[in-house]
Amino acid sequence: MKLICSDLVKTYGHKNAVDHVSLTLEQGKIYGLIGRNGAGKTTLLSMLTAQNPVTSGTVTLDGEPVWENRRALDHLCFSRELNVSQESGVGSMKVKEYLRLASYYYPDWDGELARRLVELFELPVKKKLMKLSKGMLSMVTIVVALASKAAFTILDEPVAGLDVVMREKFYKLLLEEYAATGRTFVISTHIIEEAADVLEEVIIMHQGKILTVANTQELVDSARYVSGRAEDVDAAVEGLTVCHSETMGRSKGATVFLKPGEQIRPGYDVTVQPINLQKVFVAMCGEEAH
Amino acid sequence: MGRGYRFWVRYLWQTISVGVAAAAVMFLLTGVGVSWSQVAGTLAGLPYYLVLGSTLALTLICFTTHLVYFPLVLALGSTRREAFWGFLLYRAGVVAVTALLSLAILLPLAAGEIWQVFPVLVLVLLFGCTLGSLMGLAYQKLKFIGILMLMVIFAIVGGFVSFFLVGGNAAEEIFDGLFAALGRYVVVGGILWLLSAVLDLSLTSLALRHREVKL
Repeated sequence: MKLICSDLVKTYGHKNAVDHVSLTLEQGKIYGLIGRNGAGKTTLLSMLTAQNPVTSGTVTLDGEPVWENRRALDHLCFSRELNVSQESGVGSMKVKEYLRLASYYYPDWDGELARRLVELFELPVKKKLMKLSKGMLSMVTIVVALASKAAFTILDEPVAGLDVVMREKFYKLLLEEYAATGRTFVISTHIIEEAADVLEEVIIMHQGKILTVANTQELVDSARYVSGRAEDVDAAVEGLTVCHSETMGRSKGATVFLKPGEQIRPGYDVTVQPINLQKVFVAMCGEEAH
Repeated sequence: MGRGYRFWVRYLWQTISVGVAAAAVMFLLTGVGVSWSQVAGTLAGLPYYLVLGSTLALTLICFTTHLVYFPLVLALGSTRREAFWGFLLYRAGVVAVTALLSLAILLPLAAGEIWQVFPVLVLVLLFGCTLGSLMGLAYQKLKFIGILMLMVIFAIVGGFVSFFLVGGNAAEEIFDGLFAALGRYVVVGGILWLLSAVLDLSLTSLALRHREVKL
């Protein structure tokens, strides 16, 4: 089973929030979708799951369009961030009511798993959503995502508001579920470094475009930070893919991506360091990214 | 019944419960101090209270549907088609059940007048649906118009409730008079409702097609 979007565009006014994005999500992987605020992550995920209409382009699941397609939607779950602040909205709904409604729409809903997760997270099911803290709201979205048992499950900022213990617990649960079922998870997150060990593939999005889709480990392994005197650095990285550089006086630092067989040119007085996913992300999407 | 419609069926029964509860409260308010000989007359007013209670519940929930329930069900994986037909099923269900309950009460008490009153009761319910939905649509696009419409509705409701609180049997007489007067214009009312329903359904369908989910 594959979820494919081709040449997807979403326009608001004159701005392309999602700008000609093509992407293939395969079954049995954990994807991380990372990008700065306003990069178009939630808009893209909303279109992948037919929650928002597209301006142009197509989204298909196993060749069938997902838009208005019950069969396709049965395999998709987009557990979005809950913003509940008003008594009149979804916020006036109790946790148990929200979970019951979710159970109506997901054909493979695992009520027993939902009950266990509610107990594990100590969620007050009789409380209204608007009375919950941000962390507890995140837990509700996690319960819906995991209990939905949908083949493609998408979580938008699932760890927002969770403390470090709960974040660890979430990633453990996610990996257990992944190992047991082979479902595909797409996790949109800002807390990159913690998630790096969990994400098999990483999708980096910037200003509505996909910058890269790569195996997380391979991407991190290919990235180096080269620093030293500006002229040495320039000479050492000549001909390589430099995605970011910064100059401080006569010193310079550059982030480069090495293709198979490539290496930093020897013979120059530079320091070469491996970097983590967060630094890779900053190098690609930061202010001075090339 | 498909999974996509379970939500709407659940809200159908909840709305009917709210309508029945509102009718019970209004009935009790007008029934205070009534003698045994007047009980039958007071009972004959029950269908009006039931229709008024259900119409209020319908109007408010149809309004809320555009703001809350549509985005909610779409976020949980409903198709827009299911949301449209589910909403229609919900409204038809509430109108049908309330109308049947009213008919069941009216038949033994006022069988002679039933065909004058009953079409008006149904028409009031139908107007409640379309008005609530049109208000919700208006609120989405032009908040001011939506709020204005909501204020007018609440002012009318406030007037009715005041009658119940202070009017006693007078409220029932006013109701009888009002419904008899409306009965003379039932065909015109029916045509007006049909036009408003066509407008509502077209706009709802269009709005759903372009709806973006935000919770």
